[in-house]
Amino acid sequence: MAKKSFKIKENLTKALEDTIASAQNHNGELNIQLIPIKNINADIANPRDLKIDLTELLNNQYDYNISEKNIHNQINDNLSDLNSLKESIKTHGIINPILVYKEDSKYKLIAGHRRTFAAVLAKLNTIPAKILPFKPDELIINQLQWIENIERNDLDLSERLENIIKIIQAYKKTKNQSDITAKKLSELLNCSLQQALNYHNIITSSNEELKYLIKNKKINSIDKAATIAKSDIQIQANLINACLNGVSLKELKHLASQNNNNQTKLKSLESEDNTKSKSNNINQRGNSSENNNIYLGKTNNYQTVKDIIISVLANPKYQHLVDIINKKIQQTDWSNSQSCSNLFQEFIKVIEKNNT
Amino acid sequence: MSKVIANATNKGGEGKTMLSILLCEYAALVLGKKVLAIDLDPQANFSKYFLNLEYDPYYKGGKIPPLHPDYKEYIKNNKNNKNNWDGRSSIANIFYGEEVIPYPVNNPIFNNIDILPAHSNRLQEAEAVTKEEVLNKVHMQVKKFISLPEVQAEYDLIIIDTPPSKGPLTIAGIKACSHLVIPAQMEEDSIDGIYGMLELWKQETYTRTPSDPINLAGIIANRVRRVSLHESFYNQLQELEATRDYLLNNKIQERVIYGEFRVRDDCNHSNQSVFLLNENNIARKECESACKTIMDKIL
Repeated sequence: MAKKSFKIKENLTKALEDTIASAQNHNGELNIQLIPIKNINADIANPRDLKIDLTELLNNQYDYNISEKNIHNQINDNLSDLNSLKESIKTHGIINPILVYKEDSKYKLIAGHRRTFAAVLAKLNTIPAKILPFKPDELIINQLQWIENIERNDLDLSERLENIIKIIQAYKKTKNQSDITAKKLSELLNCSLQQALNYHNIITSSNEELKYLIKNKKINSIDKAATIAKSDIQIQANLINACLNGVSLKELKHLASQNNNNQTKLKSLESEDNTKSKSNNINQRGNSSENNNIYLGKTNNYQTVKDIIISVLANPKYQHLVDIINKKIQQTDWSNSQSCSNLFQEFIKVIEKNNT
Repeated sequence: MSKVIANATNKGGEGKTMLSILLCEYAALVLGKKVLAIDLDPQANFSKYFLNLEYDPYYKGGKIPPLHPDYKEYIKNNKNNKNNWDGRSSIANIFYGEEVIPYPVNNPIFNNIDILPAHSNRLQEAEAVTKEEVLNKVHMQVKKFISLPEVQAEYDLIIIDTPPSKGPLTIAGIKACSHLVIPAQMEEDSIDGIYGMLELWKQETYTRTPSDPINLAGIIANRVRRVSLHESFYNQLQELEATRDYLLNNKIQERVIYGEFRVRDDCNHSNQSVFLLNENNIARKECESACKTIMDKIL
């Protein structure tokens, strides 16, 4: 008699594997408990520079009236910031546990400073906390604080840079390396490569004035700061002035590229390889590192776009382009501004190609 | 710290109670440990093995613990029954905030086993709390009880038998234990049951701390027969990398003698135990070897 054979179903086999792997890999990850606030030590090295002392707050040493001293102003500023959070906590409690690690009999606060302070103001005695069993290494603490804070977009540029510098230093110490690539930085910060490059450019800039202005919150846009930092050192002063005068990012970039272009033109006049000998205009435009774009304005009225295209095509010299443009018009969704923009861009390309 | 073993599966008939009995007797007789048996199953079969349970006169079909051996003495010293004790004590009491008094088991050979027996109706009532209350009123209660200094001081090992379900009582047993054992027949629905239990174990591991872990002490193939069905499933569990480390090499076969030892008729089989059989007896040997493997991981 043939021996019978029986199999465990494959999806059950997979399920068994997944469950056991999860249990082994995530041991202790959901250790969330209510802990007494008075056992919490706030970590001062948090990028969110609150300038409030938890112990003083617990001991009720703050007079909540506005005080004249500068320092007190800052404290009161921070306190009034926390008021809306305090009210929300009074109504809904703390929705997200704070993050702490246990050291001796105290809990050291890694992330959740605002919630902790607001909980004190709301007169709570305990707070829900996710408890890490031991102190994570410096790099991870900085990363955790970064993740916690950056998601909320209310760190200003100066605070963000400070934290990034700490992360970079911790990384260099941990990995025993003297430098960090932009790609590695983008992994550590969980941001795009472009963002990482921006941060990197600003941090490695030798322009002290730029750094000073960022620190004093006069320059708060990372894109503007990066534009300045990576442009030619000779024009940075001009760009900084423009920035302080409130130019838009587009204009700033335009200024930066214009100046660079002037440099290129000067150099090419001096060199033997005269660009005039290259008669192909398109190539020259392509060769220079910046561009001379003319901006055609903007509208939210698709009829305007239609009118322009139709009027141009009415010109006999463009008659042969009518069919190809009509095809693109039929593919356009006129209710969608992006679709209209794409159409107009295609239209310009076709016209230009025709003219060269 | 006392070690706490919970035997759990949500399928009935896998041999939970049998395994609980074996572990108690092995630890007490062979290892000389002081053992507390806790019966969380309203069916009360674990309790019935060690004590003479009575049928509940008020809730037919249910069982209640017998009068406590200390009750006579208590009555003598409390003529007016100040504390109003009815003479019975069950683990169910802890869900009502009442104190408990463990019973010594009937078999004098096992004088180092105490038991907190089930009370069918009270245990069922304890489960019938609302979802919001269940965490505080049921889930953590057994753990809290076991953590009491008096309990920790008195017992080396605590063995919890759970009902065949995933309800609040089973969860309470899992939350209280340091080691989980999953007995399973090598059959289709039982293997499915293993998966369900592993999920409960996994969820529990997430919330434990390094100083208070829950270890999977073993998956044990039980009621095994020499048929290709059982052999196939056992071999596959052994080949599966995930379960390989947890599946015990020692299996327990289906044997009539195990059923015979559970009989509680008036012919007093209570003084029997697998571990009192001849040392060459095949049943005794396989039970010793399985219990040894488990206890080596725990103690």
